[in-house]
Amino acid sequence: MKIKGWKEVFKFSFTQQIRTKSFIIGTIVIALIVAIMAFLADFLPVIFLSDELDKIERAAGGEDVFTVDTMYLSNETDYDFDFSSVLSDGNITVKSVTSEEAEAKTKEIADTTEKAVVTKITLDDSGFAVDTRYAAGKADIAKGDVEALNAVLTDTIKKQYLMKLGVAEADLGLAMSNVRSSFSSAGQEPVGFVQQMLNTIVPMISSIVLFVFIFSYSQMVAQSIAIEKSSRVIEYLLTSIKPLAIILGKVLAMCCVSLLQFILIGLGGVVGFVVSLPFGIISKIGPMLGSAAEQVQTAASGAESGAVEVVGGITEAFSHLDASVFIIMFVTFILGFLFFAGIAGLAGASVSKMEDLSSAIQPLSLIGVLGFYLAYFPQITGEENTMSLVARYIPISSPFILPSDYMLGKIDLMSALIAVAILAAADIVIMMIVAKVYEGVILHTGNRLKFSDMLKMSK
Amino acid sequence: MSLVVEHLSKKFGDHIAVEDLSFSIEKPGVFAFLGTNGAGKSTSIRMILGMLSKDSGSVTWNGKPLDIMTEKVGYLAEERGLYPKYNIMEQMYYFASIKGMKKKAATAAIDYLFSRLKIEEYKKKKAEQLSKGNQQKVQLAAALLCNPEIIILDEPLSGLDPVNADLFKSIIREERDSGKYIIMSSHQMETIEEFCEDLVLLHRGKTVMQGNLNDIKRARGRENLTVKADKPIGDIAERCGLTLVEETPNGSSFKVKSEEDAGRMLKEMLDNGINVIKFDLREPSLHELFVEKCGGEVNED
Repeated sequence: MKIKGWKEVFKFSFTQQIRTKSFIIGTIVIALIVAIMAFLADFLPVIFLSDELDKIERAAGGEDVFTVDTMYLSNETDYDFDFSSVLSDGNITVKSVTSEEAEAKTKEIADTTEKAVVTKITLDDSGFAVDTRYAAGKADIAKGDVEALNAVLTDTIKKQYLMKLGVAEADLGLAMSNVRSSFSSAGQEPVGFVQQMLNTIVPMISSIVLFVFIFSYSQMVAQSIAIEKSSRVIEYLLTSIKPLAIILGKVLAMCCVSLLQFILIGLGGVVGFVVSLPFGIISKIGPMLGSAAEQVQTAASGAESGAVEVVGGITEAFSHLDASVFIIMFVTFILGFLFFAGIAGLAGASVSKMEDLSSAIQPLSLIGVLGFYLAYFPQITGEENTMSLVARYIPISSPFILPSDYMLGKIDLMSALIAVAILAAADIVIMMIVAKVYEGVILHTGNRLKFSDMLKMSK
Repeated sequence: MSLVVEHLSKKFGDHIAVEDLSFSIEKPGVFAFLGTNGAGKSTSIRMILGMLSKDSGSVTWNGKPLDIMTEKVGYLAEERGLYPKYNIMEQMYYFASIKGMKKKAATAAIDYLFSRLKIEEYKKKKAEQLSKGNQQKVQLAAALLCNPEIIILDEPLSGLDPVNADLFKSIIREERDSGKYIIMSSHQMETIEEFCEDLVLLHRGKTVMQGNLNDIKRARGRENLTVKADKPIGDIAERCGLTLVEETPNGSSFKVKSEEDAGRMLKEMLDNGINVIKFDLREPSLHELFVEKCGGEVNED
């Protein structure tokens, strides 16, 4: 069936919509906000994790990761501990001092550039205690290095104390190791903390963003049709083109406007990220990811590296990104838009006065909000559950959740295609109803029509 | 070329909106499509234009079903509209594009029509910034944009001041003289009489009068008599079998059964030395025919 005139409707509706102040200002403001957020998301960790990053970079380059050259040690316990052999790998010289000398050294290093720390080891009823003082200012000693040093000292104290108690050296590793514990849902692969967080956050943000873009622009279809009816322009249009051409052109135009705004805002994010690249955390850690990440962490002498964990987790979570992800996202967006815009078109056609529009789109709002909650709430747990399984196959919710589920690898390509096929089938049904009903009611004037009235009129 | 409407019918539920409407326009000119409010005129026009499905009947142009997607048809709807927030020129280009016009041809047509309608200065304004009359001019320009062969004008002069009404009339005359087939619906009977030779009159969806206006009037004969005299004439009128319709300062109006009765009335007045100031025996006006056919049970829906 050839539908004459839909291209002209599309062109006019698209052009008029993108020239509205609300579109221009809204797009610029939101794109700017997204650009700033993208920049800060990449840049702020560099400020807050500067010490750690510095250490990781040096470790990756095979350098000595410690900024400490000398440790003045005041052992105030009755036990002898040998730290020299342990710390020689980090090129740290251990110098034993008395308690009084330690006090004096503490004052001394505060005003010098000597890369030295003063460490006191004490013992009381609650156990051993390691207290290390360092000069953060002039000597430029990284706090993370002091933490790592303390970790090595406490580890050594434990080991050597256990050996004094008679534990064989071969058993030390087991005796010192932490007992690891984990839990996860049966039938699912255990995931890391960061990835689990992403599995929760990404779908939630994604469902909100998609809901806003799909749903708000669907409502604009209803508004646009209601304007044409209330201003009686529709009578003129129908002397040249069929009602189906009008709604088709309008729906596709709004879909493209929505996509355009989505892309422009996304570009804002890309620009913000690109601008941040020379200074951001991704460029600093990115090249060292994968197997290198573990080496870096090892090279950092066992100190926990949050930055490596976060960036590594993000890389793992988005490792499924390929062309099919973008195709599924694009197709789902279009189909989801057609679904809601089709319903919106009927809502718009049911009124002949603008003041009736808000009540006419109530059913659409209910369907949309229900779909959104179906998509949103199952994501709070970050794990697969019955509700999330159902939500991705129901046409009212699948447009909001399917893209992120596929992007994060929660579902395979076949499952995604099945969900897309169900959505496409729902679109066909909606469009058939629209085609049948719209023509019958488009010239209706008077009170708002109920759906049952619309069906009667279309017979 | 001819536009033929045959046995057009439409029902909305149990309500018969249009019943067996038939007429034809065999030659260029202005055809009057009349009716009371809610008589089914707009429904009929929408069916003719193919906007509304018909239950039965056909509309043919040159012997083929009329297809407004391919034929050039201009329509000025009774309830006119423009996009209130959009630039007038952009709307005109949009209307031209859905009529299949290229931009160059559209520009030429818009320039001519806006100049003819004296609204050139409003091209870049929004519709909501224009007066109702100027919006109406833009609408007429939109209807004539594609140089249509068939033009349907639904209440083209309503709401216009006398100057603009004359402007519209001159344009309608131009279109008529250039060989267009025009269907005009109006409640201004003087305008219809000024332009139309043939008509159809609808009442409650049914055709109650149809044909050539002059023929209809001639068939009815001169049955309206208006008399103004310097003395009372009631007794004479009664003796002559005249029925008093109304008395106004301009004289008394009577219905006469035959022109002979009117002649006797005049003779008696003169014989009785009555000074006759006005004696006007005429055919019924379209207004009178309209009221006679539709009066008393007007559908106000």
